[in-house]
Amino acid sequence: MKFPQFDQEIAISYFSDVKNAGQIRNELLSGNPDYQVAFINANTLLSSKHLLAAVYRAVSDQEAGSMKTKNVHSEVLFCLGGNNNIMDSLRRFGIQDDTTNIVAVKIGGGEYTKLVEGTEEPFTDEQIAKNTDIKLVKKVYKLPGTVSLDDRAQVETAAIGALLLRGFS
Amino acid sequence: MITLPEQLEKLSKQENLIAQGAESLVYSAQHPYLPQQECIVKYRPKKPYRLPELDAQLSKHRTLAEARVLQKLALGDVEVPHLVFIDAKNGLIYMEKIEGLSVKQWIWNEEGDTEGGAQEAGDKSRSLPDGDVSSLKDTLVLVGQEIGKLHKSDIVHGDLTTSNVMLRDGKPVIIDFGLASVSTLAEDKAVDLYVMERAVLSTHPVHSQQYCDWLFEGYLAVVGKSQKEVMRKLEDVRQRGRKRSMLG
Amino acid sequence: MTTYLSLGLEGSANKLGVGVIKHTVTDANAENGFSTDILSNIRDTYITPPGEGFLPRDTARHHRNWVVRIIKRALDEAKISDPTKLHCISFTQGPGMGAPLQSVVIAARTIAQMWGVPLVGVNHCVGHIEMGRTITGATNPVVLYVSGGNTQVIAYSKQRYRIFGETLDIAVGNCLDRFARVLKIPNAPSPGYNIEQLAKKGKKYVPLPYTVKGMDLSMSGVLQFVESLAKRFQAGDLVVDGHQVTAEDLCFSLQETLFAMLVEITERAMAHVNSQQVLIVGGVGCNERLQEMMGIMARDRNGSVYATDERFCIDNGIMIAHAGLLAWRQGFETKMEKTQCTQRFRTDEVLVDWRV
Repeated sequence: MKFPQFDQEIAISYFSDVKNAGQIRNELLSGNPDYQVAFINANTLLSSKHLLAAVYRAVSDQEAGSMKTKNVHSEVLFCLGGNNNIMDSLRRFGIQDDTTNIVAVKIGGGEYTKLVEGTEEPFTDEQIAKNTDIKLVKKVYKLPGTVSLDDRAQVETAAIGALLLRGFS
Repeated sequence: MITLPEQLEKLSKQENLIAQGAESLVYSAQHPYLPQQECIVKYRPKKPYRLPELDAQLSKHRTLAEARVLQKLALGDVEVPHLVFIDAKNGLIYMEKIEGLSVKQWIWNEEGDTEGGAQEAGDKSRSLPDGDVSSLKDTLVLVGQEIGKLHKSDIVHGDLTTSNVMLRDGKPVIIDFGLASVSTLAEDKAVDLYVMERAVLSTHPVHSQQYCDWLFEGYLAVVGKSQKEVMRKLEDVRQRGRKRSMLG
Repeated sequence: MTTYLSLGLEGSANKLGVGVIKHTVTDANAENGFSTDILSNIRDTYITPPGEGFLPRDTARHHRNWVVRIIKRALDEAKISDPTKLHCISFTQGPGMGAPLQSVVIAARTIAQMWGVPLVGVNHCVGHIEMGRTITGATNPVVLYVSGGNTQVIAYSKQRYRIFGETLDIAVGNCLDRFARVLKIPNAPSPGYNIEQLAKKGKKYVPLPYTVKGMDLSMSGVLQFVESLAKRFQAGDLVVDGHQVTAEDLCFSLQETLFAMLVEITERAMAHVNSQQVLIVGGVGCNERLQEMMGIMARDRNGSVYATDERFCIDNGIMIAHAGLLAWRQGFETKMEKTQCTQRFRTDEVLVDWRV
């Protein structure tokens, strides 16, 4: 897909039962150029809108020359977060060795799905909702107690608002 | 001399301008990252009479202030458009499009006045719709409640009119927070209510008293213990007309 | 064709003005069925040394010392040898500073009794508005009234000049005057004029607080901030962003900020009442940069700006004569026992019955 305002090709895939999260992580840490992809812990996502808001912000900031991280893929992870701490956001939204559900985002075109050993699922709100760890979301966004975890729409509003307002002091 | 901001060139058209105020232009546009949907974009254009540095700073500051107010209210369970994107540098807020009529238009429809001009206050021949006024009452009470929730969040709207409240599936959604500010002062909330009273009087002169009664019914039910002070200050504001007497 | 004559007295602040006006009525039924002639417009300003503001008591003394002379000059220039033929004596009843207003009211009462001419108390702001309308020809503008004592945005509606926006604390002229004092900018011909000249040479914009709240504005915060910058400048210690800031830069920055605020609230009023015309009145209205900025805003909205020159935008007696005569012709008179002056007199308290 593409965002109407920008030319970049955006590809998003959802993988469950991922077996090689640790290996992917190593490749990322060693800076392997074949791994120019945003690998996200799918359990931190609430919906497609949630992710798209972050991807859009990353691409928008790339166009404006105002990215805070090295490349647009790391920027996606940073843009998911609600605060200015880059390492924090990369860690919280990125994958760990034991991550089993991954959403991969590739911006600018190119093959990437073969990098993940897992089951590709349709990238839909239903699929995402299956594995959302709502407590984790609350934690990563430091949501106030007034946001009820049972009200997913509220949680989504809180998370998206936080990522949109991030960085504006 | 209004031109579509370049950021919106791929999402909207000049003809999609919905509203034009002193300070901002409101466009209907394609959603920037959910392309099947629509959204609203509020744009604060450059003001050429201001120094560019001052203009950029104000535009950015106000865009952010409005976005923060919207977010605070959304989290406080007040019905407002949700944020879609903030481009503070260029003075743009993308937000949720609220489908429905403004309360103003809806009242006019209910009253049977399809031309919608402000009627003369003396025209008592126009009565409330035969029989069931309950939907007018219920709706206005709900609107009052929403305003109460707004004030409970210590946000003062700054421009409460029946054009600035929409009805989405019968439920009020407050819009246009361009003049909003954070305030705990009863005085500021009283002025907010006074502005609303005056607006109802000028837009719906025939039944304005009844409508205000219903609005206050909803408001007072929600606002709780601060209500006495706000209502007292409202009395003061009504007496004064507007502000302090002028000094020489 | 009937002619009417009024002598007007103004002294609500440090300007003492006396003017004689003539209305020649050609069509008694038309709101504008008359022509206006300014027969004389004399003014003397009480100017204090740099760094000092004018105090009520000293200002009143100045007015008392000059009023007889100025009245005589005004009558001479208007070629009025028999002042009993005046139809009314108009005087500024308020708003303004207590003692100066009082000294002028006493003069008004005295000549009214001497000549057997009725008195008409005039609201100072309405004086500015009516003179501005007549001189510029603006039919129904949004009025920005800006002076040392007042800052208001006004629009006419149903026989009242309604206040749409105003200062929440001090007037813009007052803000400029007090700033001038810190830098000891001379008060002749006026501090505002001298600030304007210095501002033209300013290059660096120093960010200052900007406080517009809806249709209103607040200036005490800006003043406090810019005064502290001015003091630092006096101490030789004003560097902002690595740049040595000059007095000219401060004047420039202050004007750009204050005037932007004024233009903004004026624009809001224009949008609210759907008007295409702006009339600027009051002493600060002489400022060409303010007129320029307002013009840019107005043209952007396909509108136009009207302003008068210093004969009329600075406090004067002719505007009082004019507004007084308009009221008198509608049957208005201020009986002697009601001629107390008042420091607080809101523009919207006046019934503008000479307009439809």
